[in-house]
Amino acid sequence: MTPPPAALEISGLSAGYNGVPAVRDLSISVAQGEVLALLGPNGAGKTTTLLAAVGLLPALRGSVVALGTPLRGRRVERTARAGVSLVPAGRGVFHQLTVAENLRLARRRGGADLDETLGHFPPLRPLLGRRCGLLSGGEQQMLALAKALLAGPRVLLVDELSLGLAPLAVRGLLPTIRALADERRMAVVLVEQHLDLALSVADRAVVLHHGRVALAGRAAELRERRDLVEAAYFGHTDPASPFEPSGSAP
Amino acid sequence: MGEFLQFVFLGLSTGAVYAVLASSLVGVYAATGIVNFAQGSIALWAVWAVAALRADGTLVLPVGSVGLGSGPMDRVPAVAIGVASAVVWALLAHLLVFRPLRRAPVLGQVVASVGLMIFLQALVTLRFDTTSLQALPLLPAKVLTFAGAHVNVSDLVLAGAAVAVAALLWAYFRFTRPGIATRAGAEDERAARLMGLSPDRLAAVVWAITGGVCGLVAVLAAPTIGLDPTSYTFYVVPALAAALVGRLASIGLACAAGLLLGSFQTVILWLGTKSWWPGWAQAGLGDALPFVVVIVALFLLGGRIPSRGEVTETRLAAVTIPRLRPAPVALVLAAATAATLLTSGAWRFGVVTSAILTLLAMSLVLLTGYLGQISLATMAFAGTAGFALSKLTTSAHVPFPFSILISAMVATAVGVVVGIPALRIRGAQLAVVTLAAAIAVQSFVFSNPALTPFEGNLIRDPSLFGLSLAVRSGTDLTTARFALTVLVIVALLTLAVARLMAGATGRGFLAVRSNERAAAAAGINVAATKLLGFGLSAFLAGIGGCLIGYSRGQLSDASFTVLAGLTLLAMAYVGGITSVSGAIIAGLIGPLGVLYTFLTQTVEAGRYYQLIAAGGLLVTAVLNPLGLAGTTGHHARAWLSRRRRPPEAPPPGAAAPTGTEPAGTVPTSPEPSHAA
Amino acid sequence: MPPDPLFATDALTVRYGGVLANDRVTLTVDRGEIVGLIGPNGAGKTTLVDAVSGFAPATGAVTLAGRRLDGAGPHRRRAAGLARTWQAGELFTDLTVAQNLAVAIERPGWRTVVGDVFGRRRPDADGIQAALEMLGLGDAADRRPTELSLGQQKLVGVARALVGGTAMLLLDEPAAGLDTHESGQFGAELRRIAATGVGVLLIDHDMTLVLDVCDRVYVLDFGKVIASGPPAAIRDDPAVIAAYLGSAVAE
Ligand SMILES: Nc1ncnc2c1ncn2[C@@H]1O[C@H](COP(=O)(O)OP(=O)(O)O)[C@@H](O)[C@H]1O
Ligand SMILES: Nc1ncnc2c1ncn2[C@@H]1O[C@H](COP(=O)(O)OP(=O)(O)O)[C@@H](O)[C@H]1O
Ligand SMILES: [Mg+2]
Ligand SMILES: [Mg+2]
Repeated sequence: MTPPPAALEISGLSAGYNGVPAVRDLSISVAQGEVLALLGPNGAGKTTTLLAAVGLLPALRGSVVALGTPLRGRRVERTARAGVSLVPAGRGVFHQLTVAENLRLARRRGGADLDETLGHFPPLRPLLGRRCGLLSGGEQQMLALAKALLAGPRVLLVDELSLGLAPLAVRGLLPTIRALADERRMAVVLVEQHLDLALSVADRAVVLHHGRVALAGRAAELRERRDLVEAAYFGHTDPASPFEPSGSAP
Repeated sequence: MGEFLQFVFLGLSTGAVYAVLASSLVGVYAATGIVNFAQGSIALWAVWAVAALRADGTLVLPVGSVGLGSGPMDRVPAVAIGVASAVVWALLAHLLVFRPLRRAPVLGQVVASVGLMIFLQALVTLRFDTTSLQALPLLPAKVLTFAGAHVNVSDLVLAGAAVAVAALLWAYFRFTRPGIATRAGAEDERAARLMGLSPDRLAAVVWAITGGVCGLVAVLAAPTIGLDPTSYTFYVVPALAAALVGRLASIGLACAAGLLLGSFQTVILWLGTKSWWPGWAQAGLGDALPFVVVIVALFLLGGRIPSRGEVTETRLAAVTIPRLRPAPVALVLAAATAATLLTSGAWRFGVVTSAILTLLAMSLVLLTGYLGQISLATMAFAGTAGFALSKLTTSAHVPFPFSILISAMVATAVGVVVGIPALRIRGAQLAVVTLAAAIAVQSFVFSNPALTPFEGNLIRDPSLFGLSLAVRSGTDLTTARFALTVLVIVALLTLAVARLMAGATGRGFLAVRSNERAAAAAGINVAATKLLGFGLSAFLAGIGGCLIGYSRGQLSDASFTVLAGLTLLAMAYVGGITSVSGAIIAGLIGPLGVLYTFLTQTVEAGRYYQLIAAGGLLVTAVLNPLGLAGTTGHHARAWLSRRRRPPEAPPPGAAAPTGTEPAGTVPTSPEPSHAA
Repeated sequence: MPPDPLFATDALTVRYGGVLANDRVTLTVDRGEIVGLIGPNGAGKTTLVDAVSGFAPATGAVTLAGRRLDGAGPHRRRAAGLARTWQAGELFTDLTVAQNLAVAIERPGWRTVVGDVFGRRRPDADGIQAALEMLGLGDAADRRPTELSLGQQKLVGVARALVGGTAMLLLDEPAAGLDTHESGQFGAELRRIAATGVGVLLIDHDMTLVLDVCDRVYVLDFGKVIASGPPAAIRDDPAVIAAYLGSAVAE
């Protein structure tokens, strides 16, 4: 069997701010239908990676190819229309618009069904007429996720999935993401602070430290080796690690 | 009663222009977050273009003109072409000025739109034959009689058109997907693009629509209102006031307020002809009215601390907190002293004026740069003090320096009053209110014959301990004694302000500027802090106004015009609104300052000063959204941080998990963030 | 009769149009006590903090050390010792981290104007550095908030609430954005803070943190307190599991 084609292919990427790289020489590829957990301590460069992956932050070096098209020089909105959705951490909704208006903007031809999507986020239903700025932080996060799912993306990038969400809400969300990856062949990159949550849905995981890959491997195996993951959070790359140090496909 | 109604209806055509301008202002604000002061000037161009076409079929372009057929053009094609010209101007404004500035500080956008307003205004005066062209009738001249009042059908048509425009704009933003997407793009451009929307294109649609309707209604109203090379430009002020009644968010309220304001103004004109109407209220009340309307509306509608879901951060020019080092301070002081002593006559007058302008710019650095309150009323504060000085020295014989102190205190009081609206509104909206305040002060105080004598306000020369500090002595146009007095006062105050900026007050001001809600939660009394800032700033401006007064010997309403206030803010912005060095640059390039003296005395190009200033303003604002001092400083810091930071990462495990790298520079304009 | 609690709300009610965001919420926090406040998204936790700190219109009483604070403006409540953090950080982006803290110590006014111009006042650098060190932000003092990661920004908010005289600390999801390890450290820091006698009301969705560090926990749902008690009891309360936890928390 040939390996499934990569939906997102990041190779040799360096990106950062004011010319100073925050991630260096990063290579990650995500296949269709695959969920990748992007982990690492605060400031490791996870957000930077996601921004570069949609073209919001130009790559200093290296390349990003999403759905077969290189991003260099491409407008962000075109990449988005091609099916790459990013849910930025804590700011994915328009505060001046109502919930219904936010959802209306997110709908796209070939996207998901509104009713079905709202089914994943029951607390949103009674709030459709409310201005988003008035929503609680968690409600906003649900709306941001609902919007991203509604667009029916082929590559979904989520920065801090569980940010501000109650345990019950997160519990309902994880199977949804898994199911979308399995059924719609969506490629998912999940940035998440809660190791257990992330490793429980992901196929593979990459731990960043100081902008470099400190550890990469299959999620199922990493679940068994929490000690290695925790060491990677402190920047220790164990030469005797059973996992390959680069982030390329398993 | 019939007569009253008659005036109410007469005001409708002006009111319709206000209403359409106001609705368009709200529309452009919803689509881009920009308050477009140039909306009236765009309409002005259309009016003159139609007049020229209907006179002899000439299509006047910014450069050159095209003859379209021989002889006058029919009304329909002429109006169509005129409206099209307004659409083109609006699109050009979007593409060339506002789109490049979409991430610039709000102040930069205000300055650019004011620059555009002055630019278009000047262009109209240059390009059209303003002496002989007329606005020929377009609408039916029928008259109806209603409750004893004669009502022009054209007035009713215009009012109806205004309501229709407002309704259409409202429906577009409310119900159509592009309309909703436009609002989204204005709030968070990045998030909109991440959703696959194209905010630029969406905004262009709104620019085109609003440019077109403003052009249309102005063209239709011109035969009633009259053709005049400036009027529509300044119609934007009452229109802005009307737009503010709905907090730049409600098109319906803006339209209604515009229509009402038009009627109010004609009614007040009518009342002014009555014998029982007080003399002091004869002039300027119509101009002061918008300010009063806005203040009342804001107090009825506004909340003090931005509540949940309101955008709490506006983009502002970056700040580096000054550190006063003795060497540079001494150098600047020595240079200024040398410049005063080594020059004479016109040159020394230029140096003195630059010093005074530096002080005025410092008052803006404190209020606008540090506290984040955009004020277009600084010249009005200065003028208030100047006029108080005149009364104090000529009628009450108060001696220097008490004269100057008391006058500045009067300005402080006015400043605090003008600051009250700032407790409820912020950003570009505040700029509009302060502009309305400046116009109110100008037309109601400075130009009011009941308060200002016809021959101007004389000011007695200052003296201290029997020593004359007069600006003129014999043939000496600017005495060294006066120049040094100015220099000492400006230097002391500038140093004091610099110390404020570097100290607890400056930090507190910056906290309020960057997040009022968080500032209140950190224990800062936001309202008192804002009033303190307005008071301090008005005090400084007041001292500056007194120095201007002493340097001229007399003041008229032309000394402190609203336009001068706008120019000052623009200069302060171009120089760098957040730093002392920026204020000094502003002083040097400001009106009648050193640059002006250079242009008049050395290259004899003084009459181009206005042109150079306006053109330079637009270009600098677009190219240096941080101001000259800011851009230079920013480059320097970026360079330093690149040098300081090692190119390679520390070895794994060498650092704690939280980032330990030395600081890079801040992004120049923080993305607006929102509270949950 | 037990001594008065440090902090108490009595029948605090907030209504936004048709939404009853807080419905007669009554709770207390003692000196040195860490009290948790949990509940589903939209339950009214942030609203409670807003109401207590003077940012949302509310009825009912708010008492700090025996003093009624309801009706006072936000800055007055802060000056009385009631400090809060924000779910979205809300730092002063123009100031460095250390200056963010300095602002909370020396508030602008006539006195600072005179002091700045004529005096030689310096911010309490030691106090600021100590507060930053306590939260592991010692290195970040001279950086701007926008350069920090989300989790660190939250901690700066906590540090800012700690300086300038604080008796009672209201923390709105301070650990959101922290990773598991950092969240554990933060819990230890909270204990140290409480040990100085400061009362803490902690809102967070990180159950490991809340159940570990809190002395008592209140659970809010649809604006009402549906349960309160020690963490162990809350964890097993069926109503709390149904409304919030989803299933029993694994240790
Ligand atoms: N706007 C910015 N300007 C300068 N540095 C930044 C900016 N945003 C992030 N950084 C720095 O880049 C590094 C990586 O940050 P980020 O990608 O946000 O980390 P993560 O998402 O893994 O917590 C950090 O050291 C952070 O301080
Ligand atoms: N000004 C307002 N108008 C209407 N509803 C509001 C307003 N502010 C908050 N709400 C609603 O009140 C509820 C409680 O919000 P909040 O206190 O932020 O919840 P959380 O417990 O998640 O912090 C939410 O459903 C929110 O949408
Ligand atoms: Mg991040
Ligand atoms: Mg909340």
